[in-house]
Amino acid sequence: MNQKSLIAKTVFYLFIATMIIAILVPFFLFLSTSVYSEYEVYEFPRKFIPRTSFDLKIDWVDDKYDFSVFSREMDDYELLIQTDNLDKLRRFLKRNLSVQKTNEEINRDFSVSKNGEPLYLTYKKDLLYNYKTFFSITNKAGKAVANSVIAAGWTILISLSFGSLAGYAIARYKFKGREQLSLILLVVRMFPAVAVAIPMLVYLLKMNFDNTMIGLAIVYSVGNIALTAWITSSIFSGINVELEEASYVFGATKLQTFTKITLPLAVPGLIACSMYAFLAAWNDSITALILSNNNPTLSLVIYKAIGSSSAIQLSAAGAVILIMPALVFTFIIKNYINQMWGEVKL
Amino acid sequence: MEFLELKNLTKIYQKDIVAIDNINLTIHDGEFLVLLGPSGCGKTTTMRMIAGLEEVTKGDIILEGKRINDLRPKDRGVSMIFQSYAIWPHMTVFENIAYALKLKKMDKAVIKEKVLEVAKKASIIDYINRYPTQLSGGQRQRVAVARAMAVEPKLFLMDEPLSNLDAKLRVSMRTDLKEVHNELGATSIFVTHDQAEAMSLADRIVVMNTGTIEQIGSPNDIYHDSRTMFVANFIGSPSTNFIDVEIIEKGGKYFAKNDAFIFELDSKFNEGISKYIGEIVVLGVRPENFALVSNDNEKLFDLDVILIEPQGSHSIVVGKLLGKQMKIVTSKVFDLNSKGNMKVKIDGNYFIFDKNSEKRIY
Ligand SMILES: Nc1ncnc2c1ncn2[C@@H]1O[C@H](COP(=O)(O)OP(=O)(O)O)[C@@H](O)[C@H]1O
Ligand SMILES: [Mg+2]
Repeated sequence: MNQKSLIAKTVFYLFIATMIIAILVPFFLFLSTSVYSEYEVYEFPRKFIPRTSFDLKIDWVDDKYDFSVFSREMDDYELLIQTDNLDKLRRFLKRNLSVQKTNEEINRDFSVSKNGEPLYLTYKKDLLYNYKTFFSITNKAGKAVANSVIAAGWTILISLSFGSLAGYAIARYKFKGREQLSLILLVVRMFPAVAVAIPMLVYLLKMNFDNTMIGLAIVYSVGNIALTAWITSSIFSGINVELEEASYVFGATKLQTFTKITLPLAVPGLIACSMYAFLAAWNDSITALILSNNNPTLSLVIYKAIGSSSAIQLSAAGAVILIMPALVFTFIIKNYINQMWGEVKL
Repeated sequence: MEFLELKNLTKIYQKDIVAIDNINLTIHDGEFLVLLGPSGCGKTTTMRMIAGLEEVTKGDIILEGKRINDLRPKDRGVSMIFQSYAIWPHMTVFENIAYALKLKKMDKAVIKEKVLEVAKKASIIDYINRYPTQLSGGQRQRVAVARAMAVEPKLFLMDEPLSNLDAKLRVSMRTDLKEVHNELGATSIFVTHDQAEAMSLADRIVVMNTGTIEQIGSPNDIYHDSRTMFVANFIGSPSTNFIDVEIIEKGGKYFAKNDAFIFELDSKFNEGISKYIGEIVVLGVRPENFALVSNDNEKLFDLDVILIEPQGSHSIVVGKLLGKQMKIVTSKVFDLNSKGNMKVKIDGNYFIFDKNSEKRIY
């Protein structure tokens, strides 16, 4: 291998590595923060890898439990609380260390230290503590998840059915101003959501669609129909017309040809469009704040929670809750596309 | 009643692109008709109008006595093999072939039997569950053939079905296609720009040029009795040699004369040629209708030989006469380096064409 290609290769891999790090590091930070306990958040320096358990030291001094946690920084036990109140201990364990124990368990474990010797033991951390807390302190979180799914579903349905029909027309029928139209579609996309949302609120109020998911989906779809039309028009024009013509010759009507030939061939593209639609609906909080504050989506709930809470580990858990469905959706779909039709390249 | 008639058929694209200019054509039941012509002459357009994929601008298409101009493609009973094959990539070979049968709401078991039968005939039975992307070009072509066969069409349309295959496969596939035609007893229209393919397949050839029909006839007719300079030039490889000559008359006999030779025309031309006296016409001689001679008395002219192309069974002598290239086919075997002059005479059939209309003079 000559030197030049070696340098080129190195630069290439460095570039790829940078890209991967730039994407993965923030994601990993969110993920690890979301399983931190309160105690770990204030540890300095912060640990990349969250703890899964705590090494504890309990001393019975002056009729009180001296409760210490092993700190890797100090390489020693750090005294956190002195109390004989079991309930207080239980709450402390839960809130600061994400360790879930009952009073009886604590009493049984800790009373050993009353013999005079300090007691050393390890408690497992509840890694999902923040997630559970998120759902319990954020009222109506379950309803919000359902709302988000419904809003995203409607957005996909509306954008895809209108957008792909428009895209098909642009791709297959020659009419005046066809090129201009596909440009205008992009311009529609450039409007900020808020600019569309406020006038839309007036209409939605009139139709009693405010604070409903379908109303929200209609607003999300405004930009997405345009984007879907734009993407699908290029997908449809990439489908060889002869494939449709063959279908006509072999006995199909126009409608049958569209549903049996054109649409399935456009599926990979349509899935990509539905992903855009999904993400647009799923991630939005501003439009939801304006249009549906009384019946919030998950993203709006998290937006508010992050805004009002000082516990960053809770916010991180909320963010992960928001990201996960999008990730799962994307990966399932990507696999599905790859397995279709004997790995056809489109 | 004729099987298929095209009457004054015209196709104009975008108001002023005349793709098909008023053609008339009759296709007999069970025949293998080949539309032959250079690229852009309107073969595909003709085919697409018959299939119903292109609107007819003017004229009629009459199938078995019924005008089908306004019938949808699906109601015409034709099937087509596209140049791109147009097999559906999201369906397996089986699904591709079964598509038309399913649309006809045929019984599942019947469909399966039929699909397997044609797949066997087209030798693709081993790939029946594969997707088109997992097949080679030749196999895809066979899928297109099988799909077209499965519907048992009245009329088979094939638009350059072999042009995407390599030379060897093309020759073997064309034999297969002819076999399919014979076996089904269907009527076939086959489009190609390859004259050799046309000659070897056709019952009749329709030679097309810029939206019009130049000549219709059997392969032998087209070759030995070419009606126009276009046909004489397009059919045959190497193609016909054209030589400008002046017609002169001497003692009731007609001669073709130029700076290199003077040649007495056959008396069968007497009537047709008489009005061309003193005018320039075109003498057309197929390469094999020249002969090399050794005797100065026999020779018509000397050919300045540039190149010999050995073909095994015969040789092609490329030379120059009056600055124009000429090709002669001879069974003689030459030393590759033979150059210089060769003595040549016309030995066999020749054509005379009007220089303006490019039509034959008889
Ligand atoms: N959709 C179309 N719009 C405009 N002109 C066309 C169209 N299709 C074909 N033509 C023109 O019609 C002529 C005949 O085309 P075609 O039938 O495809 O020729 P062939 O199949 O013999 O190569 C060509 O000059 C071509 O440019
Ligand atoms: Mg063509």
